[in-house]
Parts: sequence; structure tokens; C-alpha cells
Amino acid sequence: MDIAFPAVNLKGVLPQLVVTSFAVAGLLVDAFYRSTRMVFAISLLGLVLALLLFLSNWGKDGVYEGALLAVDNYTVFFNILFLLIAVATMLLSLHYIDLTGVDSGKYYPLILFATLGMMLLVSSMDLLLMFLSIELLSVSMYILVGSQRERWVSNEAAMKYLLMGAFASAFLLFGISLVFGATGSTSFIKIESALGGLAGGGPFLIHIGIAMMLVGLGFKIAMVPFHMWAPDVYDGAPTPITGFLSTGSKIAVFALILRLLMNPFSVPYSQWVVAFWVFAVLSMTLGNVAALLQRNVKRMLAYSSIAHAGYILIAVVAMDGRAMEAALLYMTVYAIMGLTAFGCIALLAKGEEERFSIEDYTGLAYNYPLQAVVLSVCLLSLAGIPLTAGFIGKFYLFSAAVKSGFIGLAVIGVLNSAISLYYYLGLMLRMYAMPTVAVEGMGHPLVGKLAVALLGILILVLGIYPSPLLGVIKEAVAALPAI
Amino acid sequence: MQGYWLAIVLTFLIAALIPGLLIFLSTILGPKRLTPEKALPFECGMDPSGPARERFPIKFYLVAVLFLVFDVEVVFFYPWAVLYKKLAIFGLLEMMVFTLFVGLALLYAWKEGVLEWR
Repeated sequence: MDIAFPAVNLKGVLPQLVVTSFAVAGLLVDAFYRSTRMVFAISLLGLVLALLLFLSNWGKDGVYEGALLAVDNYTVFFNILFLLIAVATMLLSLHYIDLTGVDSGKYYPLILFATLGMMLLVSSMDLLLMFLSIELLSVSMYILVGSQRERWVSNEAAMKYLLMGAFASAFLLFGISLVFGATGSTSFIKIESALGGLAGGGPFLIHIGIAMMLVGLGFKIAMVPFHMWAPDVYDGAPTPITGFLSTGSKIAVFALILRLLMNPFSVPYSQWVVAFWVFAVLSMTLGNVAALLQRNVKRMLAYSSIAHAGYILIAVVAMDGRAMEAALLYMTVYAIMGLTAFGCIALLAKGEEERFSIEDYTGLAYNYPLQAVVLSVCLLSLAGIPLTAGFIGKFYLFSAAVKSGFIGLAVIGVLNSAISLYYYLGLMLRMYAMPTVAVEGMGHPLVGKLAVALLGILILVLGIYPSPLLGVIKEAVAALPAI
Repeated sequence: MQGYWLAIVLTFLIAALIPGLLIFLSTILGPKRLTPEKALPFECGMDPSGPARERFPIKFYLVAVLFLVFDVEVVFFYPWAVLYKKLAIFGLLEMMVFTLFVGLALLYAWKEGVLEWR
């Protein structure tokens, strides 16, 4: 037996190696020196270094034939996005975890491990690497969600997420095994060529495999009907982690789904359009209607994030070059909005307790003008009001759907945006138009405020002048195989 | 082809028959002297008492987790040992990186005080 040695290309995976090393170094520094500040600095340095390495990778490399990882503009785009999300999460956590009793020495390295999972996930060109990176992402997230060990809800959230996540992983793994059984390979490239010439999108087995994988992946993006865990977990997790979970992990799995449908499963996908149509409509509608009824801001945003997963699914249904660009744009915009919204809530934490109840936000603008302004911009953007990034994102998304002939879907999307206005504006109204209730002694963390303000400005800038981002996204999508 | 499968079926049959026969024979032939101690459920040498939901020291859990992690990781050494010559320098380097990370994990667990029996 001859063993085929993999072509080692260290330059291609250097950023991932950097993140790994700095995460391990962070854990060891925590064990030896017990210095949260040092761990924070090391983790941040690792993220920034990886970011710089990725920026230098832009536009240089192609897919490595026969390799496990793809390094192209598509993956580099998402990797940079994840690193930025991780940096923002760390900055927003800085003040929060001092207040709320999080075991902080492990907190930052775990964020790095989760980011590594996301980075490997979008780059993977093999079902096994895909599964491993999903598990790396999920296991880090389980721990991060439960990192407030003294709080009952945090423990409950972690337990629920772990049990249901393990269940979803089992489905995913079973789906992978069926796809392997039907095609004889786990490599994306080989699966595609095995499915290429087959009529009806391949044997029936492949469709069962795809269905099983869809359950596993649908769980991770909180797509209706696999969304049950999301409100409880988002509510119980430490607030910056909620932001991280609802943006980073969701976007990573979406990026993977897009690649899967584009590359190995492009042939059987034609028979799945209707299913995705139904999932998109269910996610949008259930998310928005359930959000109307919430009295807890975190739960409201959790349901709104389910609805946003539905909006992104519109692009999965339309699935042409224009829709891909719209999906990437919407994911970027959604990442900024999600981080801003949960970041603002995290900044309002006071001591052990946090402010989740909608009543706590009454008249907030008078005591905390910055948080209120940024949260308002973010809510307007989430609702899709013009001059904000959310509007640009929705505009491209719906127009891509219309141009691909899914007019009904676009109409449902627009109607859902109208529903969502009610609860977003309701919260805004409460912050501005009602007399303040006595809210004393919440912190004024400088770094967190700065980060949130920057994110808020970014929402406005992208809403007015999105063309640089669109140009970058065009190049990223061009790296994918022709549609 | 059929004979091939028949052999497997026969193996299963024999595998079920022999222990079944032995258990059956020992119940018929063996002497039975039931004492109260023998009638108790077996619990590792201790007298079973109290409800099943008893508290037990958390240190058992940590040791079990450590054992599981290192046990599974060390399994990776076996295929490498078998193919040591064919993998040559590439395999050696891979395993050195792997061993480094396992060692770092052990170091971390040590510094975190997992190995101390408190």
C-alpha cells in the first residue's frame, strides 16, 4: 500500500495556525500567571495577526486540488469577517465579564477556538473536516454559553444547547455517512464529479443524506423548524456571547451551506428549492410574529435573529450569482447589527444583574444617550429603514429574489419587514418618548462604548456608501465555481 | 455465495448455543444456597444503602474526563507505530506536533490542579 502524502502548504493555513497557537498560549498563560489582562492581550494579538495574514492572502490563491482546505477569495472574505466579529466580541466583553462573574481566563481563548472552528468551516473542502470544525465551534460555544457558572439561566442554557446540539450533530454525521455511501467519497470535489452525470440529482440515498445534513446544519442556523433552542440559549448566555453566537456561528454555517449547494450538491439541489422556500417563509414569519409577543429584549432579538436567518434563506432559494452577492452582503450587515444590538445590551449590565426586561429600557435615552442612539440606529437597520445598512442588505436580497422569479417570496419578505417594524420601533419609542424610570449606576465602560459607537457609525456608513463593500463581495463570489 | 453466508449464520448459532447451554446446565446441576447477602444487588463490595441519587466527589469526574481525553488521544499512536517506516519523516513530524499539543494539554491540566487529589 502506498500512502499519498498530503501536499503541505503552510502558507495557506498560516492564519489558522496563528489563531491555534495564540489560543493555546492564552490558556497556558492563564494557568501559569492568572492574569486576565495578559490573556486578553494575547488573544487579541492572535486575532489581529491572523487578520493581517488574511489581508495579504486576498486575491492570491485558488482552491487546492485534492486538499482539505480551500483558500480563495470567498473563504478569505468570511475568515476576515469572523476575525472582526471575534475582535468586536472581545472588546464588548472586556467590561461585561468583570461585572458578571465569568471565569475570564478561559473565556478569551475559547472565543479564539470558536473563531478557529468558523474559519476552518468555511474553508473546508471535505465532509470530515467540515464535521470536525462544526464540533470545534459548537463545543467552544457550549462552554462559552455556560461561562457564568453562578447564574442558573446560564447553566440551563448551556445544558439545553449541549443536549440539542449533540442531537443535531448526530443527524449531521448520519447524513454525511449516507452521502459517503452514495458517492464513495467525502471530498467535495469528488462528490460533485460522482453526482455530475446522474439523472434526477443522483440516487435516492443522496437525498436522504442531504435531508439529514440539513437537519444538523439547520439547527446551527436556528432555522424554523429547528429553532426551538435559540430563544432559551440566547437569553441565558452572557450577552456578548449571545452576539457572537447569533452572528459568527450562524454566518459560518450559512457560508458552508452556500458552498455545499454551489459545489458538491449543485445537481441534487434543484429538487430542494421548494423545501428551502418553505423554510425561508416559516423562519421569517414565525420569527417576526413570536418577537412581537416578547417582553424580554434578549428573547425579542433572538426571535428577530431567527427571522433574519429566514431572510438569508431567500438568497439560498434564489441561488444565482446575484443572490450569492446579496447573501454575503446581508450576512456582513447582519453581523454588524447583531453585534451592535447585543453589545448595547451588554453595556447596560449592572453588577450581577442585567437589563433584559423591556420595562428597563423606558426613558433610557435620558441617562444613557450614547447607548440609546446606537441601539436605535441598530433597530432601524434591523427593520430595514433606508439610510441604514439593513436597508441596503434587504434591498439587494429582495431584488435578487424578484430577478430570479421568486416574486412571492420577496413579497412575503417585505411583509415580514413591515411586521418587524412594530416591535423594533416599540422599543425605540420606549427609550425616547417615555419618562425615565430611575436606572442608577450602570457602568460607563470606555472601550465598550467606543466599540459600540464604531459599529453604529459603520451601520450608517454602509447604509449611505455601500459600494466598496459590494466590490469586495463581487470579488469574493467570483472565486466560487461558475453557477 | 449462499454457503458463505451460511457459515456466518452457523457461527452466530453456535455462539448463542454454547453459552446458553452452559447457563442452562449450571442452573439445573448447580447447588443453590441463597443467603441474604447474595440476594442483595451488587455494588462493588459495599453494602447498598440509601437512595440512588447520592452525592459523590466531583474529583472522580475530572479524573474520568482526563482519562477519556488522553486515552482517546493516545490511540492515534497505534496507526503511526504500525506505519512508522512508510510515513518516514513526515509522520514523525506530524506526531511530534501532536505529542506537543497533548503534552501542553497535560501541562494545562496539571497547572489547573486537576491532578491533585483534593
